[in-house]
Amino acid sequence: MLQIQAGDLGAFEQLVTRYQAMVHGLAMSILRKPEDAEEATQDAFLKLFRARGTYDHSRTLEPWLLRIAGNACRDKLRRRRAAELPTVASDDDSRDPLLELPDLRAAQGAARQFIDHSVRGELEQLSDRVREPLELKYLRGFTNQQIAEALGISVSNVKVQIARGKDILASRLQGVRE
Amino acid sequence: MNERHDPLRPPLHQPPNPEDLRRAPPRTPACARVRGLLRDFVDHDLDHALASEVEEHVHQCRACAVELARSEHEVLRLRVAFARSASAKGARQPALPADFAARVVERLVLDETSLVSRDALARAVSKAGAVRREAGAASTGAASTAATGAGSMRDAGLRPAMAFFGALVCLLVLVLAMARFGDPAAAPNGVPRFVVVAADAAYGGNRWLRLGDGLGEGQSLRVGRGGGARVLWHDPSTKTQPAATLRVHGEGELHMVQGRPLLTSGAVDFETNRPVSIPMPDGSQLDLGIGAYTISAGLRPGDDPLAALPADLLIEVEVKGGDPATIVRPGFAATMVGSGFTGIYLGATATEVIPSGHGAVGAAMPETREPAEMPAANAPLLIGSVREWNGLPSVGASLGLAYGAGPATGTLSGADGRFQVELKGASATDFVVALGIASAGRSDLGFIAPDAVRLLSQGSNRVLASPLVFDFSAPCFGSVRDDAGLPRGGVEVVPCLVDDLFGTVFPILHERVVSNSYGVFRCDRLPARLPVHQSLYLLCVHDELEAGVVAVPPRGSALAQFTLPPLVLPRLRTVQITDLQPHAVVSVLEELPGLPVGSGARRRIVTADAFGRIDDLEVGWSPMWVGQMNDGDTRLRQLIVSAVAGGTTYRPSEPSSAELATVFRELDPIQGTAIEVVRSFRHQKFAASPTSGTSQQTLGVQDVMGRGLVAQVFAVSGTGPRGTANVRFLGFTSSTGRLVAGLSSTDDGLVALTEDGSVGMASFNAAVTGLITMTAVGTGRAMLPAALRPPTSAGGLLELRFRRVDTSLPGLAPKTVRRVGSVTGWEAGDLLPGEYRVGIGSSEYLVTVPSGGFGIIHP
Repeated sequence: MLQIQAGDLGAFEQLVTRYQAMVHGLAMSILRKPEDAEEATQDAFLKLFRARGTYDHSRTLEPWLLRIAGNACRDKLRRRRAAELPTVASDDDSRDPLLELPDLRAAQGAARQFIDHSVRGELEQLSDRVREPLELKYLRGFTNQQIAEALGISVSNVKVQIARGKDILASRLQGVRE
Repeated sequence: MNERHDPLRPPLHQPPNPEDLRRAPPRTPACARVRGLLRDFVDHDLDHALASEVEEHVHQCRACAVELARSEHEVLRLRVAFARSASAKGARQPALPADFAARVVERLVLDETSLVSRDALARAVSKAGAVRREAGAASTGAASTAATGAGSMRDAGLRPAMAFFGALVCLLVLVLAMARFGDPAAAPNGVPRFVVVAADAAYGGNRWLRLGDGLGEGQSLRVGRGGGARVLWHDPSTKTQPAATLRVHGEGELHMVQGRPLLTSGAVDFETNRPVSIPMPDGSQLDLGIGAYTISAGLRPGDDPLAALPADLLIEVEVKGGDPATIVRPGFAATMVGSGFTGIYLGATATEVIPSGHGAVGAAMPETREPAEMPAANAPLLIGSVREWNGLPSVGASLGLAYGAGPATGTLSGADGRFQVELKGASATDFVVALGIASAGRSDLGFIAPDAVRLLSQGSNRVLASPLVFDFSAPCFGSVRDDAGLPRGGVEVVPCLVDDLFGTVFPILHERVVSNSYGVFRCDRLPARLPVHQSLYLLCVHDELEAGVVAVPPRGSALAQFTLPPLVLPRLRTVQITDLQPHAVVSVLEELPGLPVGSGARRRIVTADAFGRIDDLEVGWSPMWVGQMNDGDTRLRQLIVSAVAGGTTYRPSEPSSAELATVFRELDPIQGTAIEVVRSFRHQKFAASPTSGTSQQTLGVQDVMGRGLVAQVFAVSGTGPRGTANVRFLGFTSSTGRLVAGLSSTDDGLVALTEDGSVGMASFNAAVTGLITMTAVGTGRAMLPAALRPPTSAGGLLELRFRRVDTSLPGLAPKTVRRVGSVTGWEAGDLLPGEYRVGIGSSEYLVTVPSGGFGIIHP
């Protein structure tokens, strides 16, 4: 990192090579579009280079990079949503995943629509707040700490979201079976 | 408070599924506790104590074991679902482009100019906005007063007023922006770079270049034969950018060093937009004005690229038009070259200025896309490949190749890591001597030390039997102090390959560095591994200190992780020299401590006074020789101490003098220092074909069981300076251990080296004919007993200096330095069998090293 701070582009290129898969995996999990993910990955590394002067050498590089990458992905997501829904404020961030729990008591017929859905379909239905930690952990192999850095939340919050995701899936699939 | 910032507070565990708790309520408090841990247990997120607790409990509790299975199934289902979802969308491995990292760097390089402009512009606009708001606030009262009385006129007069006001603001923004750009202190410095605007067969930054590519600090641009490249050069200053447009001709190589282009070979056309200074590899500098210039640098025909130094480059500066150029060289007056003229200089010769087109070498440089000197269709080729340690092809590596009777050649590896050169002239050697330097910017790959590589026949072509391999090289950090304990900056650190067996020294000049003000230095790209019985040293040189040498582990070895102990260089002392001829200009050569005998010296040129005396000469503590500087007089006399009272006084020894060649090997100066060192390696001289005065002998190399061995065979004679060996490479033995080679009556003996370091020796007598057999014996180890080991608290590595005392052949007195410590088991390995004197600090010990075993060092 000292070399990068000195402006060594060769060292920077090595850093990109080393971490590009991790950052790109994060971007894919958040943005879910390959072209957006690649652009956000590139933005993340460019931001890191431009912010190299603020790097604290007493801390490890990876969490810092994950924070930058997570912010880059969220910026990209905000821009995309603004472009896609210019007249509707994005309320995804404020949605409570608990609200997505199917109300089995009120809607017995709701269970019917899940019959043809596999678990894969259920995953697609999860809110981003719940799906992202799950995907980062069980698809990308991130640790709880890495997820926390990337998503800008606490480790406890990561665990809570993961447990919620599991509960939602269990509940929906339970509904299917019932 | 965010828990991420509260390390004292442990994170929560994943809560259990409420439905599961309702369906199968925990029966005991222990069950309840374990249920709260199961999900983290499955995810391996529990510490060892909690995980053990869960394991113990589920072995005893069937209900919790079932819940554990459910949790495991839950995760398994998630993993499978995600994997299937990802594979269905092709998203698990969404392929980033193979050159993604290079693209990021490229975008960074391209963006920086606009960034500087955007930032400056944004600040200017912001500043203009603030000014406008202040102006608006000040005029609000007057404007509202006027509006009250002219309400009906407001709409009619507003548009022209707004248009005028808008134009005023735009003008203000423009003026402020221009003022901002014109203030060097206000704008941030840009990132120096080359931006490619045209490229043909041009390589840099580990890729073939194309339009829009960028190269930054430390990277290089190389153009193949017949190719060309045009780049915009942006320097780090805040002045007009680009500073110049550069057109690199075929076979040219340009580096970005400290934001400026450094031409190391070939020719470059400069079209400058403002005055610039261009450094040259020999230490000179070219100050260009605004105009068109062609600068070229290259070796003269016949120069050996394996041994060439930057000072050997012939440099030409042609001024095609515009302002004159100024050539600034250390030790010479600045030379101005006007339009239509060419300045030429080389090494220590004076600069010559001639009209352009009258013998200028630049005119003879290959033009872009000029028909290339491609090998003739049937010309035999030397073909090989270069790999990195991980098996990937090494692209753009510089290779030096010496083959047969022809001159050594230099070449670059291509995109697939392959290279080929035309074989010129008939030759009978079945080997090539090769060295390699990884492409610029690859500071992680070590220099390939010169070594012989076997060749195989492939039709009329010759192919390297094995690829050349660049290994990962750990950087080498060190520090220098003087004997007062003060860190010393400005110390030149020159890595050297030293042949422990034959005493040759090969300075790696392209990796020399200088210590900083804290005395600290860092060397990259040093050899990761070395041919057998060779060592890596750092030669440290400073004008006020005695030169010193420190041994460095190969940068691919386990010992490379250790930081070198501080190297202490004694300050120079003042001595007098007497008994010289009055007013004689003499050369005082002081031997370099730590290097093999006769392989290096510090040269001082001084003038005696009217009494044949030199006062106040600052020297070190090593043996010195003095020679007259008369034309053709190459005799030296050793300086001996004649008095110590009132300061040490030396005088030349009487009466005999010795030829320079009998005291020192052929020395070459290290540019910028008073140091001269030999530049040679064990394969530098080899027999391409039998010559007159030689007799064909059959040589055999075998192991102790009598089996033939493949080995490199050298002829040695003790005819070097002060009885040291002169060595000549004869070639490789066949798989049966046989080699037919031409030996000379001056040869004293033969040495065979196998790949594992086993050594066989035999003396040679030209009068005796028949098979000469050498039995190669394996190396051994020397162990440092506990009594000689430093206290554990001292840590680090201990330096052992080995000197073999039972020389079997004239001129051969192998010396080597090993570092031992607990990491090596306090053993030094790869030692030739025999008796050694071992220097540890200021003490000396003995050890007998057996073949394949170890001996214990003892007083």
